Amino acid sequence: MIEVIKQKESFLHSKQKLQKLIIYYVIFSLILLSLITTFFLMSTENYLILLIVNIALTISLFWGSIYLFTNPFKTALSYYKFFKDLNDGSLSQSYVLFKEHKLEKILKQDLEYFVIVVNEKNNDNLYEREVYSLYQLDDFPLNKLVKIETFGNVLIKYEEIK
Amino acid sequence: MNLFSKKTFTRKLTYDWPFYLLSALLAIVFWRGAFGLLHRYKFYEKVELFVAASLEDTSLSKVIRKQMDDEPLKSFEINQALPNDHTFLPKLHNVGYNYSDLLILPSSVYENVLCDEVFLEINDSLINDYLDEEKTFYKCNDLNYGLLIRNSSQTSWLDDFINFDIEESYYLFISGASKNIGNLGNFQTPEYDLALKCLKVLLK
Repeated sequence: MIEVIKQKESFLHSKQKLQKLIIYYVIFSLILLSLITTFFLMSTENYLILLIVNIALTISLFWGSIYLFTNPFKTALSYYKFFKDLNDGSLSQSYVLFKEHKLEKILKQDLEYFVIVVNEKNNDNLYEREVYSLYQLDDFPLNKLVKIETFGNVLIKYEEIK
Repeated sequence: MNLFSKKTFTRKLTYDWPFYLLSALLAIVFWRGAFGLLHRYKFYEKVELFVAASLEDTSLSKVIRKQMDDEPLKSFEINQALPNDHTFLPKLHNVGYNYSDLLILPSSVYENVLCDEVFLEINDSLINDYLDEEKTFYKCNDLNYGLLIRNSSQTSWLDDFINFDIEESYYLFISGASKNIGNLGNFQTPEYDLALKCLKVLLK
């Protein structure tokens, strides 16, 4: 069985990344806030330059916070939630024929996925469906029958059937 | 696990740009207010003059500050109101009596005012300490309350800045509610007497 996602490792890795982001954000925010407060309190009657500096620092803090919480933090949180659910949930199995591995990524719930087009046999009918993968598959078993294990239609493991 | 994607950022920017814009505006408004509040002039650094006439030249406050160079006068504010304006009396009561240190009023106004209630009596010690030459006073119940600024026979250097009515007599009064008149008024602030120091400049 080839593991596309190592469940425990990925969960711990995503947790670490989330913690790191929070720690960096708190440190940078505190540095900026202390600078802003110092400049404000040490300002004299000719405060124009310090006013401009404080406005620039505050805008940096605001924009940094908006960027962080709408982009990397949100993505890290989505990864964390996905891996946590994966750890707690169960996988579904199916037998499919790998047809195509698209290299263009799609965005779903703040996570980027590769799309794999597969054919699945069900009640003597052949259906085409898409399976998502967080990572690009190195040895893509094209036109081969494989047993796949997915979680929420995301490929977790696969195994070539001879 | 790529957390910093330019593609994601540009996609989300189309939805989030109002937040970036509003936060920048908020920062500017907040800091302008905060710095203004922190460095606003203290009551002992500014003098407010109420003039019951129209102001011709707004550079008067600059000229007075220049003449008071040795003193810690950082702001000289002038509030003007025209006696024939229907908002004059409310302005005189609120701005003039409550917030102004000095008042320049014409005879049509001060003759209807109970001087002992709102103005500071100009006694001998005040004359000795803050005025250096003989002045003409406006008397009320035999007490001095106003100092003559100008009338039909006497001009003033303020004529270049204030549009005085030539048929009226204008007197300078000291508000009893001022905090810049030492401990002579309603407040016990003996170390702050900027308004009294301005008398010489206005009456020269």
